[in-house]
Amino acid sequence: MPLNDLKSGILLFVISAVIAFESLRIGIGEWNVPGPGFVPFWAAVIQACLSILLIIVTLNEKPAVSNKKWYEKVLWQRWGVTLASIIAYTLLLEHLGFIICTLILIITLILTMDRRRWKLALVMGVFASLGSYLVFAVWLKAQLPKGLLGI
Amino acid sequence: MEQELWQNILYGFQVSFQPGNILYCLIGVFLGTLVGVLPGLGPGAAISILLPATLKITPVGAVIMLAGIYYGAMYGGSITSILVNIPGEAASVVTCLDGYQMARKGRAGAALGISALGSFIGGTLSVICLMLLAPPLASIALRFGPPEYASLIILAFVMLAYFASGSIIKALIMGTLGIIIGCIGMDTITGTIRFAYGIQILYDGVGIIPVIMGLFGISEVLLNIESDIRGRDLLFTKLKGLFPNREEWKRSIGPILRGSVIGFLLGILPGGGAIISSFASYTVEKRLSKHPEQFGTGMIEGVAGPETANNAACNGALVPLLTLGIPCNAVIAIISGALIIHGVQPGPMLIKEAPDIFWGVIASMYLGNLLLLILNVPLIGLWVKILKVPYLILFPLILLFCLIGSYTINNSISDVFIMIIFGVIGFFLKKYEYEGAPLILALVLGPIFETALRRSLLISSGSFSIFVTRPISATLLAVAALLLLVGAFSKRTFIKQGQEE
Repeated sequence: MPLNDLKSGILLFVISAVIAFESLRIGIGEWNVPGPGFVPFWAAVIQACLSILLIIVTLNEKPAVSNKKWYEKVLWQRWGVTLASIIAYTLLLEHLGFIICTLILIITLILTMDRRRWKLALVMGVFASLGSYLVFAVWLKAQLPKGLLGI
Repeated sequence: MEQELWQNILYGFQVSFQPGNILYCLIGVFLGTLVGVLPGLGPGAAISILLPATLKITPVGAVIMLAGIYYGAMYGGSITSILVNIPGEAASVVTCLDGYQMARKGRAGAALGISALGSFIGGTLSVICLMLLAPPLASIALRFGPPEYASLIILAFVMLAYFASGSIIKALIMGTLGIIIGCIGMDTITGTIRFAYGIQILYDGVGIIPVIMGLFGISEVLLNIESDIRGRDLLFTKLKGLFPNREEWKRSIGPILRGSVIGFLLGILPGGGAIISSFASYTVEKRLSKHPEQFGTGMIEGVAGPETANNAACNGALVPLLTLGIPCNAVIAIISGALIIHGVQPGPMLIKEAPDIFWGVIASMYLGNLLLLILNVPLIGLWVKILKVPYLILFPLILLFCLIGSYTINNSISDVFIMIIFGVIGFFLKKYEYEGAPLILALVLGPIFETALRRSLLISSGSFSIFVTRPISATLLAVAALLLLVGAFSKRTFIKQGQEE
């Protein structure tokens, strides 16, 4: 997929340029006393060279015949809801507590995939939240956030 | 010397045969087989998830269990490859080629049997090599100073590119990116905070474990949910005769012995490991075969070799960790992290300072391989049932375990966020055909490299001659240069050939 390589190559080049400038700001030091920016600076320089190389190689390649765009095939809605639910879980975990958050998370995730399976979602939610609480908090003594219910 | 070795081995068995440690070994290989069977959850993610759980047990027990998950996963991976043509994890991809064909011809039992026995033989032979090789290597490593470590890691990066399964340029870019990410947080020499921009959670740097869970756990789920998640078609033939017949045995002995050697040697090399060695073994067997055209139609050689090699590689990969303190692949990096969390520094001093871990873990691997053999023959029915668990039930659990695992490392949600961010990054890396493994290796080796490089330059007052005037360092760099030359002249490595086939 030459077009993808071209895009990612340009992005990686921009990243390396930013890192290189930032490293100079932190201070690369002298050869005999390398500073904190020394290694990231040279790593960024090498990365910049490699990204240019990638771009050159890609430009010399013949474009693929069927250049299907991968992002047209992704079910972005499902993807987005899944990602959003784990982010929400993380944000709410220390406020609502482990059991409540896990229950909601599991139910949401299963219903996102298949709206008709609400019975399965409920059973799995209860089973997973209580089961993992027993294994991690009770048996392995991990400190999971307590939250509202105080457990 | 020889007598000392026997004493050490005996001591190792005493450690590994303590009831607690036998239990951890059993749990490890059982869980390993389980994650090997489950597609979408590899050993890397599984070990990361379970790492916080091992904080409560002894360091020896923890490492025995985590190592068990690693080589246990190799067993599990082959089961799904053979029965349903879906590799449970990457090191079993080649097993699909001939293993699944064997199953279609009604020889599923023999294919499963030979991969279990091959894995056992490969695992055992490589543990013997590990035991013989590690102590002398550790004593050489004691003479390593900063320049030697810097050169060794340069060699590791060159090998990483050399063994890259996709584009070499992309693998190297991932390597440099990993080094840069490894620089985030406090600089160990001057104490300067780098690239944190006032974000508190970045002050301590980006941990390996959340990154691995993100790249291998979360991103896998994000990739899988976009496609069809309904049940897979399973091949259910009656499993008759788990033991290969006499003729199949005869054909397998060669591949098993060669697979052991290939796996062990490629396992030691940085950037090598189970995946590459299975491809390499398949290629070698095909080259040596009198009927190369029949490969892919159910040749037992194509199952025996790679399955032996990937197990042998797991043990080989422990050599650089236990002797040099350098993890040479992502999974070993987590085991290294586990040692450090338990207050044990992996490296040349390990064999002296923590002989119980060194010899105990090695001896436990004999035990583990034996347990796997005993476990897996009667349990194959159970593994097949687990394969039928729909992804709809599986993926919320994988996500949940990742969330719990990343939270419990430090009881902080910042690690969870780092994991989620790397999950998203991993998703796009896959889509744009970049590999996550070089990034992780560089993230692990980067800080070691940085310290070694800067210390070397301090010692030499800025002169790079320090790297070529010291014999060990010069040799390592010469090997790196040679590899680069060879790599430049031969366009296709044997590994790539294997993958193309």
